[in-house]
Parts: sequence; C-alpha cells; structure tokens
Amino acid sequence: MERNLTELTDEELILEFQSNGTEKAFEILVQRFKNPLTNYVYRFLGDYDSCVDVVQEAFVKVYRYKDNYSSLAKFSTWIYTIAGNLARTEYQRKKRRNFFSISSFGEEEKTYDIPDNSYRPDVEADMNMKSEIIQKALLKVRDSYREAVILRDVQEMSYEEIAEIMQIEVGTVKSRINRGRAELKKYLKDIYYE
Amino acid sequence: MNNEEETNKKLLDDLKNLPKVNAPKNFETELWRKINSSEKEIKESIWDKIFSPGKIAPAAVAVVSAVIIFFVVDVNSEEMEDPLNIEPRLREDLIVYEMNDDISVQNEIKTEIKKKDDESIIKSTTRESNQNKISSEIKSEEIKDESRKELDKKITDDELSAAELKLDTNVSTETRSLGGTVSPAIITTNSSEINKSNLNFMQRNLTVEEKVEVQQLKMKVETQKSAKTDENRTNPTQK
Repeated sequence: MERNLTELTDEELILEFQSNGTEKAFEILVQRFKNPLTNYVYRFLGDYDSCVDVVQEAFVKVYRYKDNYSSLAKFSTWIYTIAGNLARTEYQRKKRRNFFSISSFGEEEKTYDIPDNSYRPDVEADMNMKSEIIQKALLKVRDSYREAVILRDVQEMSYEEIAEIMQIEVGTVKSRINRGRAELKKYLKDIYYE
Repeated sequence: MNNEEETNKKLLDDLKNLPKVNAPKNFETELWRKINSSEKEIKESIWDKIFSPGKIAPAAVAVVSAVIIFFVVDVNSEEMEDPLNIEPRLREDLIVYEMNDDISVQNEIKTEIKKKDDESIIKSTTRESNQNKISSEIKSEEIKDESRKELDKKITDDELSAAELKLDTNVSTETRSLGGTVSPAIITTNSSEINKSNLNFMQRNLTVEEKVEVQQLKMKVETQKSAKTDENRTNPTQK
C-alpha cells in the first residue's frame, strides 16, 4: 500500500486524501514539497523561522481545506499559491512592524536593513559571502518582481506555472521577471561590474 | 552588449546555484501538532465554548436579571404614563394652518364677529330691561291695588269681629282678663275658619264710646260722599 502511494503523482495523492482521508498520502505530499516550499519562502522573506511557520501554515491549510482543491489544476501550483499568499501577508506584517519599531526613531525616508541574527548551522555552512549578498539584494527588489524572479530563476518554474501561481498573464510574468532582474543587477553592480 | 549578456548569465547562474534551504528535521512533528491544535480549536469554538458551564451560568444570570429589569421597568413605565401628567401633543397641523394663512386677516374677521356679537347682546339686554321695567311697573301697580284691597278688607273684618265679640262663645279667658286696648287675636277652635286676617295678633279692640264715635264719623263721611255724588249727578256739566 505504502509503495503504491509513493508511486502516485501529487494530484493522485491529494485526491486520495480528499476522497478517503488517507493521512499517509498527505504525509507523502509534505515530504515532497516541504523543502522546495521552504526554499521559495525563505528567499522571499529572508527569515528562516518565519519561513518555516509560513510553510507549516500552508500545509495546515491544505489539510483543513483539502476539499477546495480542484483536480483541474496542478497540486504544485495550488500549494505554491497558498504559500505565496501567506508569505506576502507575513512580509507585509513584518514590514509594518519594522516601520513602527525603527523608522520612527531616525530619518523620515531612510529604511534600515534588519540583520538576520538567526544562526542556522545547516544554512550557514553552505552559504558563502556571495549568496548572502544576493539574498540581501533580493529582499530589496519590489515584492511582485521578487516573487516572479524567485519562481523562475531559483525554483526554475515555467512561465505558465508562474502565471498560474501568481494568477496573472504570462506576458505580465515575463515583464516582471525582466524588471526584477534589472533591479537585482542594479543592487549587485559592485559584484558584476568590478 | 556582451558584458550585459555575461552579467545576465552570471546572475542567473548565481541565482540557480544559491544554496537550497531545507526544512528543519522536526518539521512534520510541528506540523501535526499545529494541525491537531487547529482541529481542537474548531471543535471547541462551536459547541464547547457556548455550552461550557463557566459561560452558561453567568449568561443565565444575565438573562434572568434582564427579564426582571424588563418587567420592573415596564410596570413603572405604565405608572409614569399618566395621561394627566403627560403634556398635550403638539398639533403641528394647526400650527401649519396658522403659518400658512394670513394672521392679520383672521384677526380682523374675529374682531368683526366679536363686535356683531356684542351689539346683538346689548340689543337683547335693552329689550329685556325694557320688558322688565314694564312688567315691574305692572306688577307694582297690581301689588298696590291688592294692598289697598287688603286694607279695606281688614278694616271691614275688624268691624265685623268687634261686633261679634259679645256673641262669640269660644273666646279664651285670657283675652278677657287682658281687657285693655291691646289683646291677642281670637283663637278659633275650628281650623277651617282660620284666615290670614285672623292671624294678626295686634288688632285694636275699641271701647264702646270709641266705636260710637267711629260710626258717627263714618256716617258723616258717607253723607258727605253721597252729597257729592248727588251734586255730580245733578251738575255734570260744571266739571
């Protein structure tokens, strides 16, 4: 039985979980999507703790609202949409909190980069200086552009999938990706134009 | 242009080769804990929170107190709604009527109506006063005539009663004993004979000599009267 479930596609697993309430199918989906989703949300938020919370919240929503899934769509686009919406909400919440806690003290228009002090040995071990700079540059890019760039260049999704996840046209996805890359290059000029 | 393409390639390669961030090891256990807690919250929120004894008791007390207050306030409100104490409702329709019409014209009409009423009242009062005067004059004349007649009757009755004094057997002993000029009225035993004139207790009882003198004077007056009437009959043209 277990062997059969692991061989099933994402869509078949969620249908099995929908129709029969098989929790093993849900667990297999969690195993398949926990790391890509964590990577995606971490690149978007830049904070590991809140990233894990967001991914877990996304899986809780899948568990609770499994009946809302339509078999016409891909499961990956559905769960990425849920995680993306939650990540955007969390980012806005963090932004407001940082605005009221720091910007009110100093100059009016200047914003501060909040250093990520969370020490993660498994992440820090693989991170070199360059990747750290790229991550900081990514966080400076506008939200909508950043999401499109991460999904395309980090997660390596197709334009059609990104369009479905972000619920926009493919042309809009392409333009957002280009603008996001241009912004990113501007912030990383010290690395690429030396 | 080549530099631009190179930088783009470098950027894309760097983004692809970014270290993959994985979920923590206790991800699944934390996830199941959250799922179970969320399920419990849903179940508790529907029934357990509503029917928990900690909330039913104060809710019941609140409902009972509300019902009691409602009835108490309702009874008081009935007492308070005494129609004698309530101010009369403002008649807006009347106010609008007065506001719309010309008030000065209305006042003029009212004064004219008052004048007419006053005149009619005055006329009626004058008529009534004239009628009253006439009637009072007539009445006064009638009263005078009656008083005259009564005086004549009295005099004749007195004469008759004086003549009958000797013959009356029912005269009380008290009247006899008084004797003088003033004596109480004659008390008659028969109730049907009681008259208004008999009730006069201050009648004068004349002596025989006085009576004789009175009769003589009367005779003289009658003779003079008869002489005058004869003269008037014989010489009517002299007047």
